[in-house]
Formats: sequence, structure tokens, C-alpha cells
Amino acid sequence: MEAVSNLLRGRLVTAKEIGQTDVAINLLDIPELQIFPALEKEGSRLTCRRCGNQTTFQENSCQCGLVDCVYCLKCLNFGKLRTCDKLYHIAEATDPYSWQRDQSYLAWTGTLSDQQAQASKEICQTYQAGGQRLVWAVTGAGKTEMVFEAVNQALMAGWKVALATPRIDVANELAPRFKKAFPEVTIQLLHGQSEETYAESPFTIGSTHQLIRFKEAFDLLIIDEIDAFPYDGDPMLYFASDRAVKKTGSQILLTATPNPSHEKLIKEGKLPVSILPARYHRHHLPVPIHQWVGDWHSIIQAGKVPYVFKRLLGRLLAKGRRVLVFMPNIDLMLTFVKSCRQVFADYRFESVSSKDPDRIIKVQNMRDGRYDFLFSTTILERGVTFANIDVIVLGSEDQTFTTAALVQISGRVGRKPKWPSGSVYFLHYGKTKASIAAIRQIQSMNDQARKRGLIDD
Amino acid sequence: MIRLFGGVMDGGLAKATGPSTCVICQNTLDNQLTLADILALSPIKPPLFCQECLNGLIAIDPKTTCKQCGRDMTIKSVGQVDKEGFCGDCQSWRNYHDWHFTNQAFYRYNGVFKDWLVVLKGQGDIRGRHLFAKELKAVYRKHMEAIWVPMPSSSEKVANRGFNQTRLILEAAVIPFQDLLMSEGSGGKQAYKNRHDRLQDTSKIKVKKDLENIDKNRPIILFDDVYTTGTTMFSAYKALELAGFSQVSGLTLAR
Repeated sequence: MEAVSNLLRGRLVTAKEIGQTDVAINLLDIPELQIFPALEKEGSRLTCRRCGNQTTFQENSCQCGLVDCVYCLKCLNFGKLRTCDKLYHIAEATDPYSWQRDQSYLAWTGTLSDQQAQASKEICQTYQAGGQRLVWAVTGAGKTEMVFEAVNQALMAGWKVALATPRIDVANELAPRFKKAFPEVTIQLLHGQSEETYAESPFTIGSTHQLIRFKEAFDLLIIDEIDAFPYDGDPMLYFASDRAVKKTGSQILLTATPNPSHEKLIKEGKLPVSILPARYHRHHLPVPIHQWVGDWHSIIQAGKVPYVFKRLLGRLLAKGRRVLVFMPNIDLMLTFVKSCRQVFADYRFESVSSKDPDRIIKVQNMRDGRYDFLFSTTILERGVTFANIDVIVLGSEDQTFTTAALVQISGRVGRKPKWPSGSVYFLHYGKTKASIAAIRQIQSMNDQARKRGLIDD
Repeated sequence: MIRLFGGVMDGGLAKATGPSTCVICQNTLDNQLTLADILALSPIKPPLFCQECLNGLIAIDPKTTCKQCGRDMTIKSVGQVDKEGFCGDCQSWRNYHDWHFTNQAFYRYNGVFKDWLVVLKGQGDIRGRHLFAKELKAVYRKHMEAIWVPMPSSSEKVANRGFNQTRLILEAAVIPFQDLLMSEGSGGKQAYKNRHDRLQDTSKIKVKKDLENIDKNRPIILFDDVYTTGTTMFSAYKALELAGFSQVSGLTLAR
């Protein structure tokens, strides 16, 4: 019974998800157990208790005997949830957990920059008071280190902490950094491709999707890269990340590019914000340059290389620069790579995309300097750092390149203190609102940083 | 693009339906609204499957198959049929059982088909049940005199899944059928057993008791989702022949 209770505390799951059956759970007679029908009917309105969906359900073929058994189409990937299913939950304890102690858990000994220290203080204040805070930090500002202190305070107080991000690769990269900073804390890594199965632990790092299985569990929930796909704009994930936090808990949202609805809340003073306009290394952000490339689509499909692209890349390579080339579409990219093999025959290059099984090796090769340039889809837009590179976006007008994506892509340049500068080019067949906004946002961050004396150049 | 019903599409419809995705691969369907859709004034039904998945299904030409199991012999890796027209699997099959049957399949058991089957059986998303309705319907019209018999699943599996997929698929194609068979469920999933175990185990399917009133000379179409080792098909085939049916043939969606 204790084992099952531990799997249900602060969570909202079916019997199947914890390796049980409805009958077996009932037999355990757990006193504090709460049982919910998976789909709730109020009048004619149906709501999925797990994901909050109220619109897309599918008639079911089922043995349950209910006349109108349906299942939720929104959260189908988490396992089919039917009218006849039950969700189980046990409320979090009101007393602190056994890991409560007076001594710090934080083993990190680095120093925070002035703006990081300021943000860290504000995050701690939000944690103490409860509620939300948005941390708007430019790429390379050092977001991870800023949340260490608040995490430490929550752990010392004996509460549960979670860090969620829409991107599994980001979660994978963050987990070892937090394990190093909090060596005495059991940290669970939870996402669809992780080997670990859920066990109750003080600190959970995972994908935002996993939050759908939690209910009022965390005193502190940090969500990194909230502007990234698929979190941005998915009501299911917003719903899940609000529910996962205790009513008295706090939520810290980290982003380099808040979406318009967040910006609106900030302007109206409804969302407390910490803005970090400068990079840790105190150099300004490289500002992208728009350059007209013409109808690159047709040119590529005709098996040719657009002249503007050829001239620009040729010039950068001749100077000995290494370049990341972003393109909006995998098929076009693969066609283009073939044409480039002739034009850039003297150079070493490859391409990566989400469908490429060798992408990890290729990214490592690029890091190790084994390629002169690398084509990529938006898969490398965030979380990846290459030293001393320039960036070209070919076709910046494509709708894949949102403001957030373009700011992130531009943020790949000049990240290392040793090589703090570089160039970013938006080769376009028409400037877009998104590409103009991205440049404006980067400039505005540089202006703010100068005003606050946070950069030296 | 001119937005005729801008407000409605943004606030109402679009929100209510969400972006539609392919049931099999879950990629977003690029679902262009045509003039016909608008003029029809009926609810717009987005397609369930993307073109890429549909194109990924490879039809088997009945002229180039193994005589017994319906396997496509134009695939290089499977070798050739022997003089009697049997593939390698069916030749070694005779080391275990001296019994012949015939099976026909529509498609190759490839990646797309497996994905479809996982979505339907594993995930339980029954929207996929209509995918082969057209092909099934064509066979049905050609053999109106036949009795369709869906391959049974164990009651345990049906309880777990909520349905028996072979019945579900026939229902989706509006093909009448008779449940003449039942499965005893031999314990453990097929997938967890090795080939040898599976080939040995051919008694798990039995006929139901009250078959007296059925004309045993009517042809039987024994329907299953997929033919892999042939054990299930053989077991059902044997049960029906022992019960007196003289014209049994197998039909599977894939081989």
C-alpha cells in the first residue's frame, strides 16, 4: 500500500500507468485516495480531467457497457483515456519531507554577474511569496545558475521542486548540470525517451509533457524555454503546468523571447518580470542583417545555388569563418545540399535534421571543427553551442521562422567569452513581421544593457 | 488568402477542431480549404491519414505470391517459391504440420502498416479502423455467397482493449460476419514467443458449439489483420475444416 501511495502522491494517473488495475487499487483501501472519472460531464459539456480538453473526443468501441463511452483525442499519446477510466490522486503531505534541513544543498561555487544576482534575488522572492515570475534573459545570459538559489531554498524547506522544458535535449543537457550543483539530492529525469520510471523524489527534471501526470505536487516549478515548440501555444501544456504546482507554490518561466500574450501581461503589470539584457561575458548581442536573396525556392528546385547565398557563404569561408546555415524545410535542404556539393566542392559540410539518425555525430563533428559549414533545420535553434561561428538563415520569411526562433538562431553566435562576436544574416524573399521584430528585440536588449552598464562594447 | 469566414474560423471552428493530424504518423495534415468545401455548406471532415502514409502502403500483386500464405515473392530478401509454389516459410511449415491452406493479403507488412496496427491495437485509437474498408468491400461484393469469419481474440485481450480489432474493421467496412470461432488464449503475448513456440501452438482456436444450422458447403472467408508466422491462421483453418467446412480461405490485410 505504501508503495502505491508513493506513486500517487501529487500525481494524477490511471491504474495502468502505475502498473495496477482499478480492482487492485480499490482493494488496498487507501484512506486518503481521491478517485476521479477520467472524463467529466457537466450538462452537455465534456472535459478530460487529465488534459483539460473540451472539444475533441472520439466515440469508442468498448466493453464497458456505458452507452456513450468516448475517449480523449488530445492526450491520446499518454495512453487512451476513456469515459469508463478512473484517475487517481493523493494530496501532498502538509508537513515538509525528510530532506528538510538547515544546511545548504548547493555545491556550486561560481559567481553570479550583477544582473544574474539581481534576478536570482527576485526569483527567490517570488518563491517565498508564491505566484508567477517571467525571467526574460537573452541567449547566453546564464539562466541556469540564476535559479540555483531558489531551488536550494525549496529543497532545504523540504518541498518538491521540478524543472520542465519542452525540449528533451534541453532536459538531457540540464540534468547533469543540476546533479553537479546538487550532489546530495536525488534528481529524477523524466521524459518519453528517458529510461527512468517515475519514483517520488525531491527534484524532478523532465519534459513539460510529463507535467500532465502531476497535480498540486511542486512548491517550485521552473519552466525553461517556454517559447519553444511544442509548449508555446499548446493549451494542454499550459493547463498541465498550472495544475502541477501547489496552490501555494510558485512558477518561474524562463525565456529568451516571450510571446505576445506574455509581453502584454508584462506591460499591464500583471506578470512580474526579471529582464536580463546582457550576456554573461559582457559583450553585445550580434544584430542580424537582412539581405534580399530572391526566389531561392525556385532556384533551389531548379538545382542551382542562389547567387547572393553563393557570394555571401563564399566570402565568409574565404575569411576562414565557420558557418551554420538554417533552412526551413528538410526536403529542400537535402536538394540544396546536393547542388552545393559542386559549388562548394573544396569545403567540408553536412546537413542535420530531426529525421537524421546521425545528427548527434554530425553536431559533434561540427563542434570539433571537422566541417567548414553545416546545414540545419530549426532543430539546432536552441540548446546547442558552437564556438566562433557565423549564421545564415536562408529563407527567413518562412513561417517556421517565428520571432522566437530567429532570436534563438541569432543567439547561436558569439556565445563563448573567447569569441564574443560574429555575424548573422537573414537571407530573405521579403522581410516579415517576425524577422523585423526579432532584429528589433535584439537591438532593444542591447540598448537596455548599455543603459544599465551591463556591456562593455 | 481571402478569409471569408475569418472570425468564425479563428475563434470557433479552428479552435474547436484544432490542427488535424494524421492518425498514423501524427504529422500535421495540410488541409487546404477548397471552394467545394465552402459551397457544400456541410461540416468539413478533415482526412484521417496523410498522403505520405497512404503512399507507404505497398499492395501485393496476387499473381506473384506464395500459393499458401499470400506472401509477395517479388521482395528480394524472401527468396523464391519451390516447384509447387510454396515460399521458404511454407516449405519449412510442412516440417511441423501436414496441412495446406490458402491465404491472400492486400498489402506488405511494412513500417507504415505496422504503425497503423500499433495505433489501432496498441494505442486503441479506433479512428484507424476505416483504412482498408474499400479493399474489403470489393472482396465482399465479389463473393456475396461467402460467410465472413473474423479471427477471434482472447476474452482477456478484448476486455483490456475494449474491442476485437478484426470485428471492428469488418464493422467499419459494413460487412456482415459470423463469430464462428473463439480463442482460448494460450497465455502470454504472441510477440513474446519465439518462432518455434508459435509454430507448435496450433490448438488455441476452437469452433463455437452450435454450428449445425450452417451450410458447411458455403465458402468461408477467414479474416485477420496480419499474417506473420501463420500459426493463428492455420489454427483457425484447421478448426473450421475439422468442423466440416469444405471451402475455407484466409484473407489478411497484410502479409
